[in-house]
Amino acid sequence: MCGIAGLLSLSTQPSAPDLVAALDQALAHRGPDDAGVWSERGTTLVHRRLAIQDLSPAGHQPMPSACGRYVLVFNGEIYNQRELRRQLERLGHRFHSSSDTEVLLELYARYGLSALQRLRGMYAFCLWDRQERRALLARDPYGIKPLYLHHGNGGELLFASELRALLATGRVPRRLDGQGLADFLNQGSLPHHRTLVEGITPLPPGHLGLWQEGRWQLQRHWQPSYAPDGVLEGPDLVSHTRAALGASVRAHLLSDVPVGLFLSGGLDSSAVLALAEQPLTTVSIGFAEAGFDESGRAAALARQFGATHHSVQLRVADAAATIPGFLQAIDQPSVDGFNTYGVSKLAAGLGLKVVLSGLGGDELFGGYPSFQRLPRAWRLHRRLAPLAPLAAAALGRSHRGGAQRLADGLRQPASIENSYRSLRGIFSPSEVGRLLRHWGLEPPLTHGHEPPQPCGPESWVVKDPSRFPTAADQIAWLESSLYMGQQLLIDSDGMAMAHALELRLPLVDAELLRALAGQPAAQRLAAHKRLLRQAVPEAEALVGRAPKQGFAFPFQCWFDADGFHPSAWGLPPLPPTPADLDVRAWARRWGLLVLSDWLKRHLGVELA
Amino acid sequence: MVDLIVPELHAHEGGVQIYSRTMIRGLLQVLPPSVHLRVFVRNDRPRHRPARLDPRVELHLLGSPLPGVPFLRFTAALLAAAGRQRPALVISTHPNLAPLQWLLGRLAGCPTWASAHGIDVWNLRPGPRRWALRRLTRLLPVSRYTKHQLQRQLKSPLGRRGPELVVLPNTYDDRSFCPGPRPAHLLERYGLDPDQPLIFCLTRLSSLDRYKHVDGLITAMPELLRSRPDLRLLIGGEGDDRARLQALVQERGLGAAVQLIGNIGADDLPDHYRLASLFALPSEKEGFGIVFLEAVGSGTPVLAGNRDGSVDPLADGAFGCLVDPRLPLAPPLQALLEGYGEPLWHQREALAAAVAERFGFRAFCGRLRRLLADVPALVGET
Repeated sequence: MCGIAGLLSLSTQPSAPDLVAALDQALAHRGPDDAGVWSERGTTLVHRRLAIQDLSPAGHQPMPSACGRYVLVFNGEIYNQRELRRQLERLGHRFHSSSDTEVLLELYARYGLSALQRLRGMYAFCLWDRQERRALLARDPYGIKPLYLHHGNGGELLFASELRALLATGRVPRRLDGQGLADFLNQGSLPHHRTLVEGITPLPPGHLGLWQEGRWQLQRHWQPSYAPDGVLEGPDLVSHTRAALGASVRAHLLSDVPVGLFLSGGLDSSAVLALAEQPLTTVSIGFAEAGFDESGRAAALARQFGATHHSVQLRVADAAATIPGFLQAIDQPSVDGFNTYGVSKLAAGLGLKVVLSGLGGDELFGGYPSFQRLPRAWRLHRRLAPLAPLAAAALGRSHRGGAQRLADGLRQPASIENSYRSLRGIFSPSEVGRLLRHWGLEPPLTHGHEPPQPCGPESWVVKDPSRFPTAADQIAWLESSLYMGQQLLIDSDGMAMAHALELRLPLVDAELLRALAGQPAAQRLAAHKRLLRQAVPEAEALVGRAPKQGFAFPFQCWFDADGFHPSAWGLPPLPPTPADLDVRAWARRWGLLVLSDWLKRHLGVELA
Repeated sequence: MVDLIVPELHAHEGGVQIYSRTMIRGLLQVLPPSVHLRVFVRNDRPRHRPARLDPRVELHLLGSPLPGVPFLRFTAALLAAAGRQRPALVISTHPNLAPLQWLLGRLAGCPTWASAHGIDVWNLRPGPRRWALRRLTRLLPVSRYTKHQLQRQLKSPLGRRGPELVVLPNTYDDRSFCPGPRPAHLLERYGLDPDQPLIFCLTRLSSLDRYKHVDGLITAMPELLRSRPDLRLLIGGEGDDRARLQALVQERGLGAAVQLIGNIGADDLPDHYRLASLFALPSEKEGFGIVFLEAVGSGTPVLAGNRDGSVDPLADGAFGCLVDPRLPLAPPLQALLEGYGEPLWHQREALAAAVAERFGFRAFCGRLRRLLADVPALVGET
């Protein structure tokens, strides 16, 4: 887990020292253990290292291959590196370090682009082929590790692990992307292909890019499939699921430093703890607010599984005091992330460099209410089809946020994806239009009712339905690629890396998905995550049927409390909104506050 | 005496027919000279009798144009023959014949072996066939994948011991499928330059077989063409899915780069492998995939799926590139076209030699010989 950056250009001169220094400084918090730069003519690769595997200088990056043809900067972890290393050693390769970076280099040197299919892990990297003068940039299947791009003049490509690093170079104009702003207001996070800065785009998850002589070619190297495969039933399915989960957890424990776990007290993190088969340091946060505190259950779980447990009780004053650091840590804003920031801070304070999390269990095993609600909403929408415009008009008269989102959803054709977008997110498309106009900005859409057009990994649900045989499978992927992929994963990386902490997600793993996705949705996504409960009964026995929390913070209580004022929390004032716009829900207020701070801080833009 | 029961030998051309003829050749090679072979063919008729026949073979062609008659003739002939002389072993080249084979084995008191290829045993519903397969002496799946499918389905609920499962991999004609120069007549037929890169795929184009991911090859082409504008894709084979695939080609604007060429005659096939820069069939439900042996036997680099029996002919990746066929295919195809991978994949003569040694007819006979050593009656006859 590190920070990477670089410049690819047609120039024959090395990059300016100030550019290298700017990138290095901007990424320093991601890698306090080492720094490195490699340059050759117009190509510069920059690396900041957080040493997790092979703590010695042998893991220094940028790393050249044994043959000298390739140079790599790599951010992430290859969890099957030992297996790949053994395979390469059997073929005669001799390694000089125990780092996964060297394994990836030599794997590519042998297998080229097909090496990507052999990787189990989270990653973003740039591999420079000195012979072909070609760069390969790639990002893991789910997009756990970020990578941002800026295409400059003359075919130049600037890339970095963080958007702020690209801004720090001074080569990217600090201009607001209007469509990105609209997307954020609609979804509460940025889509996979856009940022808030014009000219900066993420490399989409599961994609690779080839840069050669100023030409850029983007293509997929991974895509999900839920089509039936080796279907199992009953006890066979349960034991298969347990084996697949156990394999993923074991793989994610690969480390040369101690590994911790964010233990919320819910089923997902408890299952990870139960399957870990080694003592872990567990970390949790508790609250005084009734209904949010799972710290007692987390402590009991930790005791049961022999973990060393640490917990803090977060009071409203503590939360307020944490806000300035949190706002400063945001690379890309979302309506979430504060919880990850808080628990990461605690873990880093304990000296941990690596922590596991149970994130992803709800997407994999059907834990969200959307798995029950969306099919009902979709069926109702189909039945109402002739009356939908009337219903939309009636609902549109209401000022309530939920009614507005439903109204806009009914104006779209009935589909699982449209139902998903109308039920998830913050502001409806028409509310977004009103907000933008209120701030004197032109809505980028031709009219105010259209949701964003799918372009990222979520669009596979529409483009290739054969991969999603049931509505539940579609919802599983929409939750994985949109809510988790756009929001939770971006927050996880940003907030953990702000504390030089590597966050690992054993339930967000392409190999695990491959093992389970071909099993029938009726069992895999059964209500209350039944399959996960059956597969890890020792966790189920302790967690029981407690309601889902997962480090949920009591924002609504805090924001609704008498005397709440953004400035007391170090937050900017709430931007002006139309008088009849419903901003009672905390997510709406929080989203506007975080957005407003980010735009002012990084682009000098005020929403007024 | 060994009895071999087969569905067809020469009436049509297909995988089971080739396998059955290879089994006859193999048995004649391996069995002691004193042992004769009685071959019972259900569908072939007298006009299908080959011009030359080994004197040790007693061939019974029992097909008939009248419905139901072949089965009756077949059964009667088998039982009558068993009455005349008991066989030491009954082998079937197809699992569908298992009930009859079981009966014959009971009457003759001899071991019963049946081959299992692929899709023929992936969905064994309760009934006489599954019942009989559980009671045969030995099943010969062609790959570990097919063996796994059999294990899963023949597991007895009562814990009864089932048949022994021994993998007997397919073989190929290593005299025909061998390396050679790109044939000029095919370069001309397809309008190719001598160095023009070409991906070749050969399979049945059935709407029931979309698991072969021929679509994936077509949809990978735009990305591959960006770095190799002269690349071509030839898809051989026929079936009811051809029109859909052709429409996909047109829809993607790939008419100039992708050609569906229909069935390829047996005589023309080896030259097509020699023409190809690489052979690709990214299927996820192959029982084995003899086409892979034919391709690597011709020295052509191969891309195949890693979820099924394809991994056996490619020796777990030693002979070719194994990929997840559900993932995008452009990156691994590009890697192969650029020459990445194991060195052996790109060394035509060395690859062909290694494949022939492992899967050639001589290797098949060696495996058959070891299997037959377990039959005391045959050992006694030697």
